[in-house]
Amino acid sequence: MTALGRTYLLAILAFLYLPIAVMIAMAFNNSELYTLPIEPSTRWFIRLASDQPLLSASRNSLLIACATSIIATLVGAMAALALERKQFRGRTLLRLLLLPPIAIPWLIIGTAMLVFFFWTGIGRGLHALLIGHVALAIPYVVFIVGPGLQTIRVDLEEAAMSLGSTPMHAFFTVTLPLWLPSVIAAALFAFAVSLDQFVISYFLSAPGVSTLPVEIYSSIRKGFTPEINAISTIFLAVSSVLILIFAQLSNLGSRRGSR
Amino acid sequence: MLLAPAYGWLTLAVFLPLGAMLFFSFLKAAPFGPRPLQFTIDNYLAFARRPYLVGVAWTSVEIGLWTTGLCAILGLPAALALARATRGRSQQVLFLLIVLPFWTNGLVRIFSWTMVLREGGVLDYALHLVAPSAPTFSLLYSFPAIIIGLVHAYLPYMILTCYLSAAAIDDAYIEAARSLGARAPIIFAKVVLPLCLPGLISGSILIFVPVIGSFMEPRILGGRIGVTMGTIIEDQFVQAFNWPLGAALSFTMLGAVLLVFALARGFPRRLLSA
Amino acid sequence: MVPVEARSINKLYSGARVLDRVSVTFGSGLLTSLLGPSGSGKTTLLRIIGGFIAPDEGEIRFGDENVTSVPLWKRKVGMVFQSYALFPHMTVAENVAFGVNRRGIRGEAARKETARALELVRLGGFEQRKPKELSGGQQQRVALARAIVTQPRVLLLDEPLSALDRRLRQDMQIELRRIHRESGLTTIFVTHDQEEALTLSDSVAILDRGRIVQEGAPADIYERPRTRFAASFLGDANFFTGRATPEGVETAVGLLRSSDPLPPAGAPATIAVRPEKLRIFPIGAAGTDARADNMVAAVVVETVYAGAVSTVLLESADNASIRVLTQNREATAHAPGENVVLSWSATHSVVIQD
Repeated sequence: MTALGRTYLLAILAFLYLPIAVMIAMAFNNSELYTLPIEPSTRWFIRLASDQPLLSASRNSLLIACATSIIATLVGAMAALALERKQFRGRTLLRLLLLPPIAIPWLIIGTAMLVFFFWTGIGRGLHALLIGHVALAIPYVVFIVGPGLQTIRVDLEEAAMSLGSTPMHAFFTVTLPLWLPSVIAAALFAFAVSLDQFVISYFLSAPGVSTLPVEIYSSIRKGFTPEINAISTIFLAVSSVLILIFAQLSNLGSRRGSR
Repeated sequence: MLLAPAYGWLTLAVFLPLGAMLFFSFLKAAPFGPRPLQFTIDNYLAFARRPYLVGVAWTSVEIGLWTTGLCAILGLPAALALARATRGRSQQVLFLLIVLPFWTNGLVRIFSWTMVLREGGVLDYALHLVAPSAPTFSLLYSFPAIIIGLVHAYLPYMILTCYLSAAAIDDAYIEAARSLGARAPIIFAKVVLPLCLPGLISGSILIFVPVIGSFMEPRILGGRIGVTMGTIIEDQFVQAFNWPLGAALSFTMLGAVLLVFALARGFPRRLLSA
Repeated sequence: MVPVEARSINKLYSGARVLDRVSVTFGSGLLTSLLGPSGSGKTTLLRIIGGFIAPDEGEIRFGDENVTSVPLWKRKVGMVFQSYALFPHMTVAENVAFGVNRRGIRGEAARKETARALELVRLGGFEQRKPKELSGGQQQRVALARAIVTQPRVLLLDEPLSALDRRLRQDMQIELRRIHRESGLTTIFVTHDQEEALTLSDSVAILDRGRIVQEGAPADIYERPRTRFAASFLGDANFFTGRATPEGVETAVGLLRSSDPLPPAGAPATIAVRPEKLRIFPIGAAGTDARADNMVAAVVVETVYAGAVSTVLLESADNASIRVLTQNREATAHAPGENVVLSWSATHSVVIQD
């Protein structure tokens, strides 16, 4: 029974990784039209270096992902602090309000943002992309750092205060160090969410200012160049590393801070 | 206060836009220009005025159901296998491997599928290696292609949610059933399945909702026959510039989504008490 | 060291009165227990004294100073939490030095203070360990050291021994007494364990549902409880109810005499007698205590043997249950069904209010 289970799992994994394997293989395939069999070559990676639209889109993606990560983590952490540690009415309602960005199909949110930004003159472009990405990332951040905060006992801060710490000092010397793994994990997650975000970016991009996924999409519509495979392989590697770090930190975070 | 930045941001970026779109959906034409605003509910009656939309909507639902169903059938056994047939290190590694595809670029994955499914693609090539005289084989630009792409993209969600339910099943339940003489199929039907139901349901919601709004996969994998609510809505905003209609259609779809949520909350309770 | 005083403290939580006009004085340099069942408000009172929560009404004074509106971090109190609340990411030394550092003492001076505090709790040499490497008892001592090292005006302990097993708890009780003597701090100790309160405290304050029921030295409260609650919460008691007469209390089992002042004749009255104060004599045996102030006939139901002592359960003439605690000095057991006489002196009859 167990062997059957494992075999099935491996079959599913094979299914999941088939296109990814193809993508990586094609990145190294000399053929311009993806004909098989594969002739190994790194020509697409080399061509990448001079592909301006792709490069600038990649740069935008990275920039926005970094900014999103920082802003969303800060803002989300503050919100999580208030939601977890303070008692007040309407807490459940506020928690529910965090769901729309995740629950509502991104198509609707993206088009709504487009409509609103256009109407109010915010327009499209890098700033719009940033606003949109951060809005999407905030709920994820809150849902990651929230539970992390829950494992940190409240009486630790009380103990610090009884020893002479002001509330602020207690937070920075006691709670924050213990919270850090969750916060960093959330930052990485936000980075990954932003990097891979397509739908919202699609609607908020302006001609010449777009992110990598959007660039890839228009490329696909026009006639795919294999450099896409190359850069996607690179991004896959980056995302994988991030996820691995994230997983390590989640493990760490759940073991410290609780007695 | 601590909360202000987060909720302020969300208001600006999500709630106000949604409100604006609601407003738009009642307009005759986008309010950019000298003409005065004219209100109408015509856009919401789109389904009545443009009957082909009903067909499109139905296609979207069909795609949603197929995708969700296949994900459930494929995903639940995988989750069970992961939860019960693996342990420790290998379990963690397998878990990460299943989650990793989330972070590959969705678009590139879809395009990779085109390379697999099309004429001269991986499947065709493999077929010809085995049976050289067979006709060329292409699955691309077909309904199954869309489903394959979507299932591939969303399967990890189902595996994840079902895994969380499956991992929580106490071995004691299964042992108890076995000691009462139940064989494997009965144990599955009466013990495992009901306990995994929450995972199945949340997975189904996580999958069905985005899928009925999808437009990338239908376009790329379905070509001309890939017309869904998602692609229609996208068109209104990007090509036809009929924003009010797009807005109305979006909210109709949102209504359907909320309906699904509401049903899903009442569903398990009724099922479990049966 | 100054005395700590709570004056007329009122505290409500969602409409329920958790503390009701509570006034207590905690003697300077003394160890006072706040004793009561869960929900009695004792922890709430402790936290109000410490400054963790604010009272709705009333004052807290440290000596002459009204500290009610002084925030927690300026109040100079030392608190040992029920969960110890040691900072998991810091070493023992860093934990203990935390409060010292906050007062501006760093470097060598801080290190000396830390070492001295750890010596006091008999954990010298543990400076570099992390809390998770310590046993429960050791963690508790670090928590103590951390609270004491800053020489607080009052030391507060919130059920510090409840998480320890029996043997350890007894050892720690002795340790706590020693540490209290050597530090001389005004100490307030919250517990629901009456034995702990008796062994550790210079003074006990019993709380029931937000009110102070009785206050005083352990022996005084034990020998002379004022209410039924005090009598049954601190120790065990037998109750006899009846009506007051000029000579004593007329009950269903006879006239009971007491050395306490009696209520006016005709008023309802209750007498409490501690189980160890009763002596058992077989009926008609030679040496029956004919001069005893109080004698009650009863029938033995069962004897519960507990090594050093035995509890004898009896039934009196009016079918009330009576418990007697005897030392097992000789091997005289009382057989079930045996008819006996219980006697005790008037000083051991305590007149209580309900």
